Amino acid sequence: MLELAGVSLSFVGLTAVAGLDLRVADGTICSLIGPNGAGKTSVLNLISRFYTPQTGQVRFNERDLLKLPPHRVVEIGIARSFQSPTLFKNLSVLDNLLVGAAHLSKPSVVEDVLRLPRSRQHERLARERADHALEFLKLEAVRDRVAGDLPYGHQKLVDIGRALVADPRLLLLDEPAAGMEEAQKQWLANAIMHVPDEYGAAVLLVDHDMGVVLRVSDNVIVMNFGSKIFEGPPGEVRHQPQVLAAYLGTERGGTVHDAQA
Amino acid sequence: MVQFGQDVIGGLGFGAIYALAALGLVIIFKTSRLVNFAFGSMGTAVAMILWTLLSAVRLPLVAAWLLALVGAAVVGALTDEALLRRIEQAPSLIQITITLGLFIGIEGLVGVLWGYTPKPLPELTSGGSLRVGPYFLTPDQLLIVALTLVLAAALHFVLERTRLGLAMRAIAQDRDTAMLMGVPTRRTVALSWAWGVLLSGLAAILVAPAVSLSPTMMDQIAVFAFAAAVLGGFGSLAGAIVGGFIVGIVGNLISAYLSTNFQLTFIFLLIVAVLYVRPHGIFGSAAQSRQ
Repeated sequence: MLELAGVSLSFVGLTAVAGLDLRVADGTICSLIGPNGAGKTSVLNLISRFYTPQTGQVRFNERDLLKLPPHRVVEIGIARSFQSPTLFKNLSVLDNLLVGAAHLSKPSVVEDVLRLPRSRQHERLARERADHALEFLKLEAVRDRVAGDLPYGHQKLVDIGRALVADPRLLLLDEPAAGMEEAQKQWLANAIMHVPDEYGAAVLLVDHDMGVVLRVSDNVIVMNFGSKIFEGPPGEVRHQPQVLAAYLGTERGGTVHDAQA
Repeated sequence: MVQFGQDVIGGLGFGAIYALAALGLVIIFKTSRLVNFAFGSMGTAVAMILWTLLSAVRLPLVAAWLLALVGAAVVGALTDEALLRRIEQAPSLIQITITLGLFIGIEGLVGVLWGYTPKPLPELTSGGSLRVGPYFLTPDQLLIVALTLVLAAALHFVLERTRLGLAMRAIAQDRDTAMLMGVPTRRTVALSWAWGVLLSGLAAILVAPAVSLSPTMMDQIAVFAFAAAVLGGFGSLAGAIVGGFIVGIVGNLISAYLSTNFQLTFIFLLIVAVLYVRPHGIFGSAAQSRQ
């Protein structure tokens, strides 16, 4: 469904992504890992259309993504969470989630203000999706809290929930586990694994936590200096010498798990 | 004491006018982060259009009112579409200069089109004062206060209970993120401009019978309304309403017991005092001011 071919992106004097090929298949979980500065977040930002690559193609379900402005990306079924959550901090958790449904239908202003059927129908759909996300991410207890007052880990979940409410076919997650406690990470990994079944969405995950990545992924892509240095199932990643070298900067033995420790 | 109560009531009418105009300022500021300094002269233009519809076109009162207010909303949306959208990313000093320029430009244009001779607009209602206990109220005052409260309640409903309101609140918080979520930001901001200018126009129409029409009729009212918005925290609807009534009542008391000339001085002293105690206004929060 998502296909990047020969994508290169450089900022003044700095190559962020160099000739990257990447595919995410329907209903699968693909992870992008690599050392800091490897270009992982740049890839997500390319897909979100914050950046335009100098060369290469980005296609989503046969559509040329590069022809869309950033705010239309969600309409064709790509939603995302951010490294540091960009919530509407003074709005309630529920309202934050409801904004995620903004693009699902567009009743006119008159319909909205007079609460005509189409507006009510939108509201019902948005509420259903929000309620489902609250349950899925175990956020029911904080539903009416002001988002900005929540602990960091919860804010990250709300950010993910808002993306799920948007009914994506592809969910981009940018370091969802960063800043979370171990138990919460395990729980989150479990939730991410259920996204394809529960929401019918594929996941492209960027994260540093090797435990989470190896557990949830169908396919792992390792990047270094903007290029792909390995791609394969999680079972094979940890023994690849070039991956270890990228993480440790040496050729010494061990596994990626050691490198993270 | 009865006299004092009467002086308080006397301030309600103007208080409601300031509240309406302040609401217009706040609703625009919330979504577009722009202070529409042109709100006074835009209101004047709407009142002048109403005068033309009534005296030259001879439309019935209600039809003329509706047409003038719809016109105000359209002008508001067009102003955003044609002019302010282009300075969205500009430094705030430039934005302020543009809306101030708009204020002077529209005031001048109104002068050219309608002239500087004061024109009367008829009172909205007829009949003598109403008696409530020991106090007296004119029907116009009552109508203006009621209309203001009803409109404020409607606005509150739209903001808190509708999808459009959610879009406005989301944009007020973080416009870029709202846009990424598929919120129609452009349309929503244009709509809040329509609302804002409509409210300014309504304030001008309502105050016109009391001050008579002239290009500069809203100058002083605009200053008081701006003061009301600041007092209320510039961003809060309730703040704009409460601020409006406080400015109206305090202003009237000062006219009654000191001198009309001291109104502005004391209102601004009051603002200094309030902001000293609550730096973000009566209803404002630190988070709101930071954005």
